[in-house]
Amino acid sequence: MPVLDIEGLTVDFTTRMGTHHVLKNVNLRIERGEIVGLIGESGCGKSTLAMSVLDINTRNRQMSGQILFMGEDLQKLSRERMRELRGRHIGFIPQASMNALNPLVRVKKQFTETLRAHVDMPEKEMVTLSRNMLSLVSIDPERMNAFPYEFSGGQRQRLMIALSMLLSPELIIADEPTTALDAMIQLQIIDLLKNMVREKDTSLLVISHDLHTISRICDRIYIMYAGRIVETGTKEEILRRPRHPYTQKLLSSRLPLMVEPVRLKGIPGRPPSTLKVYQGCEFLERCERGSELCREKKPPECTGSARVSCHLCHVEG
Amino acid sequence: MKMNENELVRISSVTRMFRSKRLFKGSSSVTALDGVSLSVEKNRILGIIGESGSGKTTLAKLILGLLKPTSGVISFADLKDGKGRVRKPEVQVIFQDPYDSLSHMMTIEEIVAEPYLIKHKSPCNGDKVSSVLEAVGLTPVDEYLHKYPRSLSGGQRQRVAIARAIITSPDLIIADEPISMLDASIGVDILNLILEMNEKLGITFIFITHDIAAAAYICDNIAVMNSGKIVEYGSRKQVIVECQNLYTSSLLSAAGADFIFSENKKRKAELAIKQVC
Repeated sequence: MPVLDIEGLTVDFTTRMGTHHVLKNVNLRIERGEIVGLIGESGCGKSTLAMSVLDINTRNRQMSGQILFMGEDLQKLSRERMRELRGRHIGFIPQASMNALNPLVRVKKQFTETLRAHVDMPEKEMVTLSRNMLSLVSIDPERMNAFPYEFSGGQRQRLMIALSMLLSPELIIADEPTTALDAMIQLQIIDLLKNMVREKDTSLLVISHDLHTISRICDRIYIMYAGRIVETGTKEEILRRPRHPYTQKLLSSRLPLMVEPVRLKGIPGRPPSTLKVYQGCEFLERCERGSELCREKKPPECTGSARVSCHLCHVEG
Repeated sequence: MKMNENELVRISSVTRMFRSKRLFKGSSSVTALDGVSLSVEKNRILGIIGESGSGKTTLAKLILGLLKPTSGVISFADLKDGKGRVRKPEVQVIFQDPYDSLSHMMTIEEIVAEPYLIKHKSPCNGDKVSSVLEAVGLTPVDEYLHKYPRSLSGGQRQRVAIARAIITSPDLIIADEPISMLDASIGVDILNLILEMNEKLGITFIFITHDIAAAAYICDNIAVMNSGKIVEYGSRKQVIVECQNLYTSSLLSAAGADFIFSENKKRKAELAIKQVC
C-alpha cells in the first residue's frame, strides 16, 4: 500500500480577481521508504500541493479528487482527526523554515510542546527523546535551552528536520528545504534528510525548484508545470533521458561549471497565468517544438504507465 | 598611490571590525574583513565567492562607501572623460532581494528615473528611461512604465534593479547575490544580461555570490573569501581547474565539479601520453 496516493487532485482558489486554477488533475504516489522529488518553478503549485495534503489552505479553496494517506481518504476525516495526523503521521518542514521556529520560545519547549500535543509520556522521556533527536541532526543537545535566534540558518533548518521527525511520521513533506542556504550547507542538509529518512524508514516528499541539488537524494521525480504533472520517472530517467521539452529546458538552464566560456539560455517567456483556462498545452507559449495539435488538444495526463504529458513524445512513441 | 593602467579600484590591506557594545557586558568585536587586498580591473567581471559570514557584503559596502574601513585604503582610479577632464569612477549597486529593494509605492518609471534625478538634479526625459528598460529586456516598454513592482515576477524585478543601476552610466556595478533569490532558469537570463552589459556598455562588475558555478559562468577573475580573508585569487581557469586552496576545492565539489577533476586528470593523462610519444 502506498503511503500517499493522490488521484486527480484539482484545486481552485476563488479570489476577487476570479478563479485561480492552481492544481489540475494531479496524480502522485509515494511508496514506503521512498524519496520523491516534486520540481517546478515558482508559482507552479508545488507548495499548494503540500498544503492541500496537510489540509491547511482551506480558505476560498475548491478541491476535487482523492488524497489517500495509508489508504485513508484525508478529505473524509474530521478536523480533529486531521490535526492528530499532522505532526504525528505526516511531518511538515515548511518553506523558509528557518523562520518557522518561534523566536521567543526555547528550543526545548518547542520540542516538548510538539510531543505533548500528540503523545502521553512523562516529561523526562520527552526530554530524552528530544536530546537524541538533536544529536541525530548533529546539534549539541546541551544547546536545548537556547533560543532559535542563537542558531545559524543551517542549524535552524536542522532543528526543523529534527522537530518534524520527532514522532517518526510515516511521511515527511519538505517544502524547499535548501533554498536560501549556502551551497555547502545545502548539501549537508539534503544528505541529512536522506540519512534520517533511511534510518527511520519513512517516506519523503521534497519540493524544490532546484532540480540538480534535490535530485541527488530522490528515488523518483515529478516535474510540475502550471499545476500539472508534466513528467515523472526515476532519477536516472529524468536526468539522463528527459522527454518533456520543459524538463529538457530545466536541465539545460543549469549552470555548468565550465572553464571555457559558454552561453546558456534560460527558459524564455514566463509561467502562464493561473486565471486562464488553457484549451491546449500550457507550455506551448514557451515551447519551440509546439504544433497545431498542441494548441487544440490537451496532452495526455501522466497516469499509470504514461510518464510524460506531451504530444510530441507520444507521437514519437 | 600610483595605480596600474588597467585598475579601476584598488583595495589595499583593508580591515574592518564591528564592535558591539552591550550594557553591563562590556564590548566585543568581530573582524569582518582581515587585511584584504584586491584590485578590480577595468571592463572585467570580478567574482567574489564565499559562504555567508565570510565578509563578501562588507567588502561591497566598503567599496560603495556605505562603511568606512577600520584600517587600509580603498583607492579609485582617475578616469578621463571626453573633454579631457579627470573624474572618479561612478559606482552603482544591485541588491540581493528584488522583492525588498524596489519601492512598492513607485511605478517602474519612477524607480528607474530616480537615480538620474539624484545625480543630475534634473528629471530625465522619458526616452532615457525607455532606452534602459529596453536594454534590460523589459519590452514592450510602454507596458512596464506605469506598472508597480508588485505585478512583476522576481526576474523582471531584478531587471528593473539593473535598469536603475545603469541609467546613470556607471563605471562599476556591484551585484550582491543578484540571482540567489531567483529560479535557476531565470537566474541564467540575469547572468546573460550582466554579461551583455559588460560587453556592450563596458561596465565593470563585481559579482558577489555563494554559487561557484554562477561565478565561473560570467567572471573573468575570481576571489574566494573565507572568514574575512581572501584565500584564493586568480583567473576563472586558475581558480576552477588549478585551485590550490582546500576551501575552494570543497566549494567546487559542493557544486558538483567531479567532472572537472576527472577532466583535469584526463588532461594530465593526455600530457603523459604525449611525453611518452
